Amino acid sequence: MPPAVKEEGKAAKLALMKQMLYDKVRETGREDDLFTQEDLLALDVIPNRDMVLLAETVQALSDDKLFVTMREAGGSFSWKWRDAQEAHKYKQCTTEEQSMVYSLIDDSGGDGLWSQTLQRRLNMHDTVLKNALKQLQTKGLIVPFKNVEHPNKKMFIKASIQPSDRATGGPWYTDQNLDEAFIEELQRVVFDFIKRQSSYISRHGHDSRTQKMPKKGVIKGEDRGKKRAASEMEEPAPKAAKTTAISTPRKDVLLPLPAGFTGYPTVKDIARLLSSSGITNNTILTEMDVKKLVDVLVWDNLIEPIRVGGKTGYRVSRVAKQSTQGWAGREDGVDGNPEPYISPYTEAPCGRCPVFELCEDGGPVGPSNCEYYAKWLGEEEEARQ
Amino acid sequence: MQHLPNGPSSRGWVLLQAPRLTSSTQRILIALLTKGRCNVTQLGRHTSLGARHLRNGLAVLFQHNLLYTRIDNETRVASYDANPEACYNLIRTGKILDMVDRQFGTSERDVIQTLLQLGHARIGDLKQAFDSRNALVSSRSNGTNGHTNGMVSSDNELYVTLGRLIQADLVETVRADSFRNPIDVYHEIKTEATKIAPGEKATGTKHEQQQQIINRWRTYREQSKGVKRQLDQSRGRISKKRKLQNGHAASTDYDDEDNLHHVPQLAPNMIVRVNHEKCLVELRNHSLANFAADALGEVTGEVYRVLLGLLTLEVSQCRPDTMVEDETPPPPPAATTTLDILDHLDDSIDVSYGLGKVKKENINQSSVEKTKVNPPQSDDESEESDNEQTSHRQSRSGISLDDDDEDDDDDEDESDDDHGDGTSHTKSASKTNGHRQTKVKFKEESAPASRLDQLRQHLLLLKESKHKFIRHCGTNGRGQWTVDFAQLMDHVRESELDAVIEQSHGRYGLRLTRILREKGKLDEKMLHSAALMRKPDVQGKMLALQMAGLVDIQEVPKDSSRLANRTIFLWFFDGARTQAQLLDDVYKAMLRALQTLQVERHKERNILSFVERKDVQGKEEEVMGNDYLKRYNRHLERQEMLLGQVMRLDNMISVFRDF
Repeated sequence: MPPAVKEEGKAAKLALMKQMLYDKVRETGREDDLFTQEDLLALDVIPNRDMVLLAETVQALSDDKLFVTMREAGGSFSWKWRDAQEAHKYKQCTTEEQSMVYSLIDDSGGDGLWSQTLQRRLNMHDTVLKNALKQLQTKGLIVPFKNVEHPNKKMFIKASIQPSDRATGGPWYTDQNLDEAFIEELQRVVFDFIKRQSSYISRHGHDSRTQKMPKKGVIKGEDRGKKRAASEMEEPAPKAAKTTAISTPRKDVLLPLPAGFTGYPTVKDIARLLSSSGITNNTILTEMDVKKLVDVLVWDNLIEPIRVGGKTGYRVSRVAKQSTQGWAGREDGVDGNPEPYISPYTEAPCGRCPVFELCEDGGPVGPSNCEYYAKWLGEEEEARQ
Repeated sequence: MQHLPNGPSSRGWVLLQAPRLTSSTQRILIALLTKGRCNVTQLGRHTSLGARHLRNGLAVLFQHNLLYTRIDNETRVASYDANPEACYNLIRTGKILDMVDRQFGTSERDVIQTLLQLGHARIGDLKQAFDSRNALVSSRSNGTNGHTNGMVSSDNELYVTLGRLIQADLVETVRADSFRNPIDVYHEIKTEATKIAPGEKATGTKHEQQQQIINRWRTYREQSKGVKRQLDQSRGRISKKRKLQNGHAASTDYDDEDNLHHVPQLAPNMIVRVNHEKCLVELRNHSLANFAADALGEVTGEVYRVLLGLLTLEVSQCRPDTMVEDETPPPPPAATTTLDILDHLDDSIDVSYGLGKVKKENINQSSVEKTKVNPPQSDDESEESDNEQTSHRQSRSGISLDDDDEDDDDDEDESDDDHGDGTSHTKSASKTNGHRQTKVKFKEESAPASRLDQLRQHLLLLKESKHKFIRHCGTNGRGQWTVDFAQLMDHVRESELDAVIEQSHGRYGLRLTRILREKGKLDEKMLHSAALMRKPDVQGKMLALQMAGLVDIQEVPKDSSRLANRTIFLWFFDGARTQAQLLDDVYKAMLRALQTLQVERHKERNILSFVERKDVQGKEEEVMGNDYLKRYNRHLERQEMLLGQVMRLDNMISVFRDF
């Protein structure tokens, strides 16, 4: 046989081998599975476990970009297959540089690649790299995009795929910016939901104290009334109690639910509420996302986790002090805001004094000339009068 | 008794009692606080006071228990030492009186007030003082009747009251030893126990010696309680029930008649003073009950108050003695039962109120009735741990849970209305309103049978809270309950700290510090993704927090070059340090409030000196001009604001330091 024919036959055989191996590999493994040399031989495609033939076939597949060669830490090689369509894109890379650049960006997947990293890895001249990137962009193979983790870096990603959640920041980001208004509003909705589900609205304004008042008068006499008053001295409540006793405006109060209540909303319940209410528009929140939202509310001391019967639900903190109004959709400072516990330290001027460290008896700032205390004690009003 | 690691400056201590001490006495106290232990000669040098003034001043300080003394065994020279705790305790005078009044009654408050004014007093002298006062009062009121609105009016009454206070441990006896610094006493015991006479071989092991020290120390500490023990034996243990009902006129009379038959025999030579440690225990109960009321509602708070009162009957200190490291495990904390609590609960407290109503199916009985025999080791122990026994007792759960079926349906309807999205809201609300009230009446009628169950619901609620107010430790007597004070106080401290952070650094500041507390040290990247905040916002907030000393940064270099970009920066939050710092700041704030009060007094000194005149006192309104009266009233208002603020700051200091 003439050598040319032999060559032809060999090429045809190789092409056949290629096709068979490629198909077999695609059948057995998913896109990210790695195949070692042994794995490939075990597929029974290469007759007689011919190492040379295998090497040639794999080489040819790699040349066609249908196989991706991976090198493991120990120095051994393994391969994974690539979709034919993707492989075709490599054919569009006309120059060697373009192909190198594209392969790196391809490898980085959804996270994208920084142009500086490209340059460092490829060790190319600046203009060459820029040229290659430009041409790849005009061919529509790659696109520039912004990664929320590195907003100032120029990143590139394959045009055919969506950036990963890590790169876009998940549902909390809109146009690479943290959507604070969205988060805040969602938090309020979640807080309101939890408050509603974890408390009981007592509508008849049955204040334990007002109930007691007449009883006391009848049974216990004056002494008892006096004792009450002493215990109430340090709470700001008596004023309110008085008004309820006299005019009885029906004030709704929230009450805690009995121990062991199983209906406290779980993360799943909250996620279901958010998706069914449709307030998230077209953003889809997974349970993980909702968990993040709920965690933040826990850290803000607005709600607290509670375990009943093996599942973790959430309930509002300081339930008896919370207002019955909703928080969502309101301006700050109106009814319905959560009521945190107020520390006596920060209520008086010293707790929030900007010059607390400097304050000293006889110093430039001190108790004798403290304008914050003057304000607190109401001297300013006095001066105005 | 531990020494304060950091406290208000000596100036602050002195300011606390400025009104009652003369300037020379103040100077002595300042010298003692700043210079430490001194003898008379040294004091003379530091204060440049004459011997007469010095002795006078020291006597005054002694009278108020503000001094410790030590007599050197060889030279027989006495040296003096300030007692900062006692100095600080003066600020709590008002609170203690309030507490005694609330828990015992007016006559007890009367006695305590006198004792606080005097510092310490002989029983005989006390008797005389009350006698002369009563004579004065009865001559003024033409002797209408002996009973003058709850004040102590006879010797027997004084003795009974005193006996009661001693039994409650609020009043202790004073001996010469009481004026020695406990640290001195401890060291003396230690040297004596470990002393080996020359030529003698060391006997006993170290462990035995330690045990001996501990025992002797205990005896020393218990000495002031001897009289209490005697009284307990002769008159029977004090029961909280009487205490709690003491405010009622009817029961007081009955009590007195009952008690007047066996008036305790108190030696007229015995010297007594107020036991501040026990007072602190009572104040802690009060503040914990308020904390519970704040978290879960008033009624639950009242229930908790009763429970705490019962549990701390025999507790004499808030914190275990730190002086001796005892190896024997502490005795299990006292427990009380639901029935006991019910017995002692004031009838005017309506336990049917304060809890929401839900259907019975929505209650997980097995998880509710779970008991924990041992205190939890760590805070975040999961529900399913080994040392729990689930009691599947089919309890007759509260009436709020299982009325008849019809009732349940009503509840269901109503809660639907309540939580509905507000369509036809008012209508349904008013409808259910009428409904509800009839139901409440029905409940009150059937209350006696279910009061216990309703009470149990409150207790279970306390148990379930994240603050772990109580621990369900047994099932006798419809449930046994105890409190792990150390862990609970950690929670209280934490929430105080949270409140301060929240108000000085906003919700975001609180969020960031809480993340660090929960997760430990964190990289900035992790921080802003967990907190759902913008990166620059996190950076700004963290810097502000760092400036305030709340968080700090740790650098972990990746290699030896120590370049900034080869270094990991981790944020962390140091709880203990932050609390210590906050305590310091609160001291300072308290001092500023007191100083501001002084400034105010100085500003209005003309009016104040006028008011102090004998011929003006009592008829200010007639004598003073309108303008002046207005200014005077405004001054009083401000004084009230400032003193109120001092009291509230004292609450915080107690929480962080004493409870």
